Amino acid sequence: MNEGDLQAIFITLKLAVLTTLALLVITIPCAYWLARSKRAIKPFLETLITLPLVLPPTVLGYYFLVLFSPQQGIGLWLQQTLGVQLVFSFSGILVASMIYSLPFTFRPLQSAFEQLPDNLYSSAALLGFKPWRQFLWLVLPMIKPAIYTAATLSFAHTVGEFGVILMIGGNIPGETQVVSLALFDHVESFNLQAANTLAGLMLVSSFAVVFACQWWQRQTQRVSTPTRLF
Amino acid sequence: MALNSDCIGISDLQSVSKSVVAHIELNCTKPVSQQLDCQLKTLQITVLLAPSGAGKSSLFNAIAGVAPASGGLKVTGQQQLGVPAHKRRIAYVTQSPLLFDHLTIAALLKLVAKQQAQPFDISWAIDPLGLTDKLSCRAHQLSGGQRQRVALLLAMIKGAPLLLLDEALTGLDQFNKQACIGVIKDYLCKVQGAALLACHQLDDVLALADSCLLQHTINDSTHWQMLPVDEGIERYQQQLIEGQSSENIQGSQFTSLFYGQVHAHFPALGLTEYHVSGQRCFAAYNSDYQIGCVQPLILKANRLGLSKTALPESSFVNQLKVQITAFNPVNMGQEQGMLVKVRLVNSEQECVHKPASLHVWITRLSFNQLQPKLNETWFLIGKADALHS
Repeated sequence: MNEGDLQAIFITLKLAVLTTLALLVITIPCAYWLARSKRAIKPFLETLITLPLVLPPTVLGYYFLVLFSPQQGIGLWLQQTLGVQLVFSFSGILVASMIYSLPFTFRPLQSAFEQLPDNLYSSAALLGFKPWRQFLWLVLPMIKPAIYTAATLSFAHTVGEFGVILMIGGNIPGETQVVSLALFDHVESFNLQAANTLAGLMLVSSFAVVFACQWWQRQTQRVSTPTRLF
Repeated sequence: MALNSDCIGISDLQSVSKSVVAHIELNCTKPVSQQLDCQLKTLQITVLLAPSGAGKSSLFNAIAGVAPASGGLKVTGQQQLGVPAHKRRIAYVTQSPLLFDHLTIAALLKLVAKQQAQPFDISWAIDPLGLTDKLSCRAHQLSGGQRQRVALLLAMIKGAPLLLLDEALTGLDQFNKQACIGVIKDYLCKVQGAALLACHQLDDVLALADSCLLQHTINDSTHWQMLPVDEGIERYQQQLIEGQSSENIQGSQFTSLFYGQVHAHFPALGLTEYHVSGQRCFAAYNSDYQIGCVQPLILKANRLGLSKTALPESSFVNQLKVQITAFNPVNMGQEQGMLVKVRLVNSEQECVHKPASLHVWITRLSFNQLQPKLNETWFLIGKADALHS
């Protein structure tokens, strides 16, 4: 395994970890709000959030390129005011992966929030829990399995990304080249030994991560369902 | 029974000097329009007597602050209306409490205590409620009755002086029910509080209540009226008879309450003898009752019978002379029958209490064969276990 491959592995892991963490921080409160909301805008927002699930990654990548191009619009504004260039940079692929993995994080969380019993909040209030403490001490521990699912899906999905990253990040070694892109390069240049190593590594590590998360989830699932009396 | 003094009047006099715990003048409109005006005094336990679906839970939700209400609601002088539920000085055991299964009972008790500015120490109640060895369990590992008792413990941690109990005793066996009643009374003593209890089991009412709240409807709006227990039960039973539908009538809802003077104990036979309006009757032995004191006695209508003559050579130890005062056709489930209202015949001149009115339920078949008439004198018969104290 050469230095480029190691760099690609490091970038992949960094991207997956940061995407997962950032998505969890953003989606938990948003999914909580949307699950309890009865506003007319709710179905529109749900569709928007689900969209990356059905759009081809190249379409998504194309719109990112257009939107964040430093020559115009938002891209130009970001470049001039904050000095940030999202196209062909790590921060660009981070934002893109967050949007690409959004439905995988958001959906399990929203469904978990919606499945909480109706009388949860009133029961908690009757026992003296302030609203934010209800969320922190009761709601979050009760949806723990959904948080694990969301994190696993987001992590695994980011590790396996290809199209969006290729479009917005290019394939810059050490900056935006992730394992899937490095593997593509090896296959194109007929370096099959290196391709085998990377592909095998991804297969084993993906299996291990998903297996561990499922086991962990099963351990906690037993204790997280609330009990009703009748 | 809350009332165990020699004379009914004493407890009334005591309640006059007690301070007001809660002053309720509440209107709620959903799902039915209801109005409750009452004052609850220290240690007073008041029962809302109404059939299922009459809006008792909605009223409790409005008092506790999880449903809208208007009017006034003061607990120990502090206005509670407009205060969010978590800050109200009200402890509420709901009909289907939610126990958070991600925590053990001990951890849950600790977490709930952490939410209070001044948590009330409930450790004294864990043992009487039989939960000592259940503290390390999670709610799903407990039986229905145990979960109900955990819900009572959790509600008490608030230490609030107004305790709302929505069917909190329903479904508990006799032993645990007694334990819960003991804990509820101790709690009210410790916090100098009062309780409102919703239930439709008359046995529970008799075991706990000092007063009743009964519904009456004026212009499509339900008003709750405060009454003494015996009068409340009688009027509630009348309401049931008038608006009966066969599926909601149960034998236990026609329970009569009257007062008897303890006359003698027969521990060897397991019986205690009482005198009621100069007549003798027997109930299960209770050594706590002193000779001469007046105790409330309970009879269930479907555990009694009527006989035209006394039955000296029978196994029925209670044979009371009664006069028939009313008939009401009442079905119990599928069975057609007649609820006969009778008054005990007074064989003594100096009787302190008014002659007790009792209900006896007989089948339609017996009624047709025996053909009892109004104002006739009959014998009310029942085994000793038909009578509870």
